Amino acid sequence: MPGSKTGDKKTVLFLCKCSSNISNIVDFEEIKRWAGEKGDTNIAAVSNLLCAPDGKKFFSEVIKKKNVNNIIIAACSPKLHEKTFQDIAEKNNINMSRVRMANIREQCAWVTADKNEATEKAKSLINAAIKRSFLSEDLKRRTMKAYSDVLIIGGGIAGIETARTISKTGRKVYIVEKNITIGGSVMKTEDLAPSMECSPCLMAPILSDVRDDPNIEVLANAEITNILGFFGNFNVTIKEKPRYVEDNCIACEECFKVCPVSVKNEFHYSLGERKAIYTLFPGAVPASAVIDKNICKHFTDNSCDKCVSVCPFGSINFDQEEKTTAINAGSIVISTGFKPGDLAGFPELGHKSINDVYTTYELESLLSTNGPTGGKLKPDDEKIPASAAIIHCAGSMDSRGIPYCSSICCTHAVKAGEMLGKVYPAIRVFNIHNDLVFTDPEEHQFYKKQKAKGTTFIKCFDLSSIKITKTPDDEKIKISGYGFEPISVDIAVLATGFKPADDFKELAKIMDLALDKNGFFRPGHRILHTTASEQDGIYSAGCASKPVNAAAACTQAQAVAGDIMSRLIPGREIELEIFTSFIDEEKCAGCKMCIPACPFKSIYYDPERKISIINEALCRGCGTCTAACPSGSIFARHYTDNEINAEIEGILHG
Amino acid sequence: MTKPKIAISWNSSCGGCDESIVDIEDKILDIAAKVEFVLWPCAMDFKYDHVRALPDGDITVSLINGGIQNSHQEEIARLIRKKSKTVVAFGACAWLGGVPSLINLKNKEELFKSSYLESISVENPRKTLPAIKSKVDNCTLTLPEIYDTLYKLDDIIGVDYYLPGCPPTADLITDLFLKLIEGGLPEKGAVLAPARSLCISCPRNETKPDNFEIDEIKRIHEIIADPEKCFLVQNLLCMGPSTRDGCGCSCIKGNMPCTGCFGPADKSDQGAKMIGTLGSILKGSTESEADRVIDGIADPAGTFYRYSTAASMLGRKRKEDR
Ligand code: SF4
Ligand code: SF4
Ligand code: SF4
Ligand code: SF4
Ligand code: SF4
Repeated sequence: MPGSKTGDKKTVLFLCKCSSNISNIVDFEEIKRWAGEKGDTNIAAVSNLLCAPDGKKFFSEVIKKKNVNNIIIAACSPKLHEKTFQDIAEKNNINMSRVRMANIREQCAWVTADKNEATEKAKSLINAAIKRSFLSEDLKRRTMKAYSDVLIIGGGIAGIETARTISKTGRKVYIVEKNITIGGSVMKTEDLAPSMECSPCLMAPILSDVRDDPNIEVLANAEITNILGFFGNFNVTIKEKPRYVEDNCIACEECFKVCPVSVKNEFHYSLGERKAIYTLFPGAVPASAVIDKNICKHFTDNSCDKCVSVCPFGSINFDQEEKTTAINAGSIVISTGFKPGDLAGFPELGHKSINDVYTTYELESLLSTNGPTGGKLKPDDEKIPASAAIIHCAGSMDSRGIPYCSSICCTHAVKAGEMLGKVYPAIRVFNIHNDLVFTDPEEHQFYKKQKAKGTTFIKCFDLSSIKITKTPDDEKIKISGYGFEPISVDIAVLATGFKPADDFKELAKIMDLALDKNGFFRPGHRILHTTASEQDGIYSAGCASKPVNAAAACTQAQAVAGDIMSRLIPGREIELEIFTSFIDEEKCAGCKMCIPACPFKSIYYDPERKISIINEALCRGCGTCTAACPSGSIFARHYTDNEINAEIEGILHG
Repeated sequence: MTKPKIAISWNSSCGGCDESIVDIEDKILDIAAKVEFVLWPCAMDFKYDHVRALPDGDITVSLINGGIQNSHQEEIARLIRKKSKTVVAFGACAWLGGVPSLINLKNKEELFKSSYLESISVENPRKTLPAIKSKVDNCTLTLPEIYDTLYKLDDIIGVDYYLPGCPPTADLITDLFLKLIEGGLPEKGAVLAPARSLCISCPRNETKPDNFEIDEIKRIHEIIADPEKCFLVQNLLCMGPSTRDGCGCSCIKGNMPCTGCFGPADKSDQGAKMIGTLGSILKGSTESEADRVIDGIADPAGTFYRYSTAASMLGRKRKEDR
């Protein structure tokens, strides 16, 4: 019987001429003769163009009529058409793993003009494919129901808007916030430029919406510790730190009055103070207060429990423990916000060393009626500042600080003048700038209005020459720099930029994402998909991928929500990797060496059975672990050592 | 019933394997009473002619230790194979080449030079080297031919079983004898120890974290090793992960890392497997960082292939004339 060497499999060898692309160089008659002589394939079928409609029909007919169950196609690169032919085979009830290509075009016909050489090489490659095909096993296509819930990291305005939009479709949304309540940076200012809309008034109904939305779950005072999986199937581990105050706390603030410990309030840039038990602002979500364990006297020396006795709801619970929660989500949104640029590297700007020198953030905080000083620069000092200088680009576009332009701070700088003017109507304002960057006509209009109101815009060609000084005898702050006459003012405001938040690096590591040179998350595409990340299913909104203002953050949030909702349809199945790896449980010694090797964190150790296990819903079939297993206990489906050795054998011993 | 006939023979080995048979203590006497030894050059006075005189296949089982490095060893191995029903490659050297097969990283000339000319304990003013034939006072003396390559036993003759270890442990030897006498040997071709790696038996495996990284490799004399922690976690190379289980963790219990004498856990290349697995725990995000860590491996061949050079993918040093 011809083809007896093939065992119980009937094997067909398709030879594709690729018009004449291949047959010009590779001698098809010789290949057919050689194949017949070898006898390990049953049929050699020649096609002029196997991937054309006629060719596909021919392919389909041959495998159906001849009752074939093992297919070798000597043609172009498997990258081009392996899937095409696998799909046709599957339609004819032949497992996809039974279709194997030998690349005799790119690797033979196109790399030499020597017909003999090309034909001999084609034989080697075909032989390798044949030898390997005898060892391949059927592979199963696997699917799973995608999770349609969404996890949002960071509860600033971008995260909140994403959550609100998605929750309307009935999907569950989780907001994980590292601070004790959501709200983020917009809660630190009174007015949002350029419209100067009242930020707390804008946010109050939004926050209460979130609080009352049964589909949104807020995990505050929490951080992400691990993320596994891929689009449609993420497993996220979250650590919630104890608040020591139960959820029934309504933030009545009774305890604040009796708490004996105070500390600088970092939420207000350390300008005001807060107690050991505190909230960030009225109407916070979650509402309940938090005890700062590091300073609370119950924890430091067990000398106080005043809050316990005054709390009308019995909410204080010093025994609360850290909670770890695991969540399955289909998509993840990074909306972790930003951090204001700091001026530690710029002593010449006098920040923190000279009184009355503030950053724009500090100024906003001080001038907010809900801020640390009730809306005045100095609540106790009745002196009214007569003049202010606002320095643009402070600490930006300079390697000592932020090397880039954040594109937000010019509007902040203009807004600083507007805010000062509201509180101190007679104040004279000087804006010292080089570039002026506005991102839309409204912002530009805002600037023009400010100018019309009498603000002097002073151009300084080299902002790094700016010096802010004040001697003990001086009443006023002196500002000097290249290209303008020094001015003396009562206060100076530094418009600093946006930096990536501190946890970006850690998050990037957990999610296996790259940061760009400025430390922001690299977008999926700079133009076409700025809210995608480099990993399918992980999105960014707000300041995660670059500095944006609140309006842009909301637009991005809605874009992300739309993107997710269009792709993550509840009930839809997602295809899982077919070529996964598996561990031979009889052989595995539980040495754990494969675990760090897996780039997708798909392997875990089972201490009871003392072996390692691959979670095949997470495995991407990269095969790294098979090389790492020191006892040869891991097998990569479709790429077993035996298959690869057979292929090499086939090449070496044609 | 006639007693099973047993032959024990040695080749390029240190004698430790023979010693280990004697080491099974009083049990050897029980066994000796139940079997008939027909050859054991190391312990008993039989002549090879006795063996030559036996009918083919007469010996029930032969335990051969050591790899094959000269023509005499080859001749005796072939003789024993012919006369035996079953041949066991006894110990690491017979199975995988063992420590002597590290010589495959050199040539015969280099071996002679170092052993007979340059070794500090050798005085050889006439620079005499071993030769197959040498004339001395009108007499011709002959020596077996020393090969350029040391072969593992199954490169030369068919082998039915492999008993790992340098040397095999008393328990495994006793078990082998019991099965020889009473039956119960597995299918031919088997390695007579569990096909899993040593970590499974190692009491220190529990101390090995699921995920760890080492940024430096130390040698055992450079630190005082913790007696309970996994050696790898202590920056010491332990061959346990790529070594077959079955020794009872002798070295580890003596606070020494495994050097790999039980060979690979499956048919793979033991050294390559260990190198592969180190890739997952050695720190080194940059090439120079990785180089620094790897430079800590003082003797890579002796570390990864101490017992298995002849069986490795490397096999031997490349021959220049090829
Ligand atoms: S127990 Fe702690 S939080 Fe409560 S009042 Fe005392 S110091 Fe403040
Ligand atoms: S093949 Fe192995 S290393 Fe790769 S993803 Fe799967 S389990 Fe992880
Ligand atoms: S490396 Fe191999 S033997 Fe070790 S735990 Fe993983 S699968 Fe098991
Ligand atoms: S690596 Fe060595 S010390 Fe560590 S568990 Fe394995 S055998 Fe034991
Ligand atoms: S611990 Fe390793 S080197 Fe020591 S006896 Fe066991 S296998 Fe051999």
